[in-house]
Amino acid sequence: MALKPLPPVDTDKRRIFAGILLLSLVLSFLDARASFGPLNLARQGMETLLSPLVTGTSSIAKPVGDFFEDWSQVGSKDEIIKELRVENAELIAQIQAAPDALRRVAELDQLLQTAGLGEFRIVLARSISAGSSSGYGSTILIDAGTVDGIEVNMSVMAGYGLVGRVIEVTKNTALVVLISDSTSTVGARVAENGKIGFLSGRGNNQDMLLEFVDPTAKVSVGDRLVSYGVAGGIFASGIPLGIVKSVKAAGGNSSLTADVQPFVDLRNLDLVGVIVSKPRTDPRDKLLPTPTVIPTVTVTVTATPEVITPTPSATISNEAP
Amino acid sequence: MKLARSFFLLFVLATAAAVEVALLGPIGLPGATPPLVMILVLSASIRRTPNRAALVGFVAGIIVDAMPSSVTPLGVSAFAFALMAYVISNIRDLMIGSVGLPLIAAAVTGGLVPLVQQFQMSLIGADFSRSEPLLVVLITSALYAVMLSTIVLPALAWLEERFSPRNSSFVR
Repeated sequence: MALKPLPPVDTDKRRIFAGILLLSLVLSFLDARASFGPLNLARQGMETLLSPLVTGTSSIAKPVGDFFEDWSQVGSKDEIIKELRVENAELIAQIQAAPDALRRVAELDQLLQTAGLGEFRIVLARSISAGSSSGYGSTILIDAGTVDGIEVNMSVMAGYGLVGRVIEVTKNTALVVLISDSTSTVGARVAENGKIGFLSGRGNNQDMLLEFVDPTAKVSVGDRLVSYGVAGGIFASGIPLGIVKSVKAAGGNSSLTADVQPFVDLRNLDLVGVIVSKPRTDPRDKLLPTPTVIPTVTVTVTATPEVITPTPSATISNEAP
Repeated sequence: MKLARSFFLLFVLATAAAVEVALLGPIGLPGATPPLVMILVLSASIRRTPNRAALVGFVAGIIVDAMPSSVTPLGVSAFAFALMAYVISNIRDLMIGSVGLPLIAAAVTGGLVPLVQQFQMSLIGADFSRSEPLLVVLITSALYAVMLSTIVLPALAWLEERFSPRNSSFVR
């Protein structure tokens, strides 16, 4: 049985196809090198021809494309909006917190400066709450306790002066009675003349009362007071207390009493330092805030002669018509 | 008449390439851009002899490569389209009258054309990096090709019947 011959292969047709493929390869190779001038020109020419078609199609199809683009980005846009809202809320919180943070930094700075200058070793704490507690009218609760080395009767100060003393301690908190409490009395010394007295609280955040040991002691408005410690006493010496606001004679004799405004705003306490170790030497007056200098305003009035510019006006004639 | 039909096909291919660049590309669908021109070449290849189909593929590829926003060198798409058209034309007898086979062919060519392009780009040493992984491009291109085929193939068949009732091709 003879084998049936295979159909003839149309080599010409295959050559055409192979030629097309080869041409494509050569074109792509030359164009990829971007160094064949005529091809670059041809490409630029084709792009020029096709550009209007693309532009025209784009202007017609743009609304459709925009619709599909928006549709395809619905999820991602929601996500972006959500992220931006979160970021916005964080930024608003940061902006709102900035003044508070700056205030706290200033308080901390002042507290560390005062404590450092007086060589007090302090434990930093924040006031958690304020009010009446344990039979005392003016107290604050701070977030430091026995774990921080806090003990009863330790002095508590803020940036510009004495705040009070610790009366109760738990593991993580401590109760502080303020020097403005009606039961509180602090030994005080007038920085300007060294006279000694007792500074007592009046409660309800009123000014404190200064009474002297020596009935002949004098004091003036604007004099500054520091704590005066005694051996075995509670308060450390040299802590600024307040400034004399007014002076008056005590009940019918020549002795004086004074109303004293504390250096520290005891109604708005935040950051405080509990003095866990007193200095070996009395810091005396070096912790006192610098007295505020009130500038004297001098008004000088210099007379300037007024220059009168003559203006045309009606002339009155005395002559008879 | 034959020349007019050739120009008509050229216009259709150029418009399709413009639509692909100006409409389908900017939509921002995940993966590949829907291969409208490739589907047109596929459709034309089903009704042409292999060499004519390869020529149509070559011309279509040149148009795609010459588009203003094209990132492929001139000839890369031409090579892939010509090769695809030639193969499809050789099996066109199986596909005429079938509904499923052209869709399968669209899926296969949709997946293979980007692969051939990538291969050729590396062959000629062209610097070409896709924003999506190649596998994602291949899969999405095949998927979009099938989706487009369901619309484009019947539409082109209708156009051919309308413009050339006696001969089932508007360009021979």
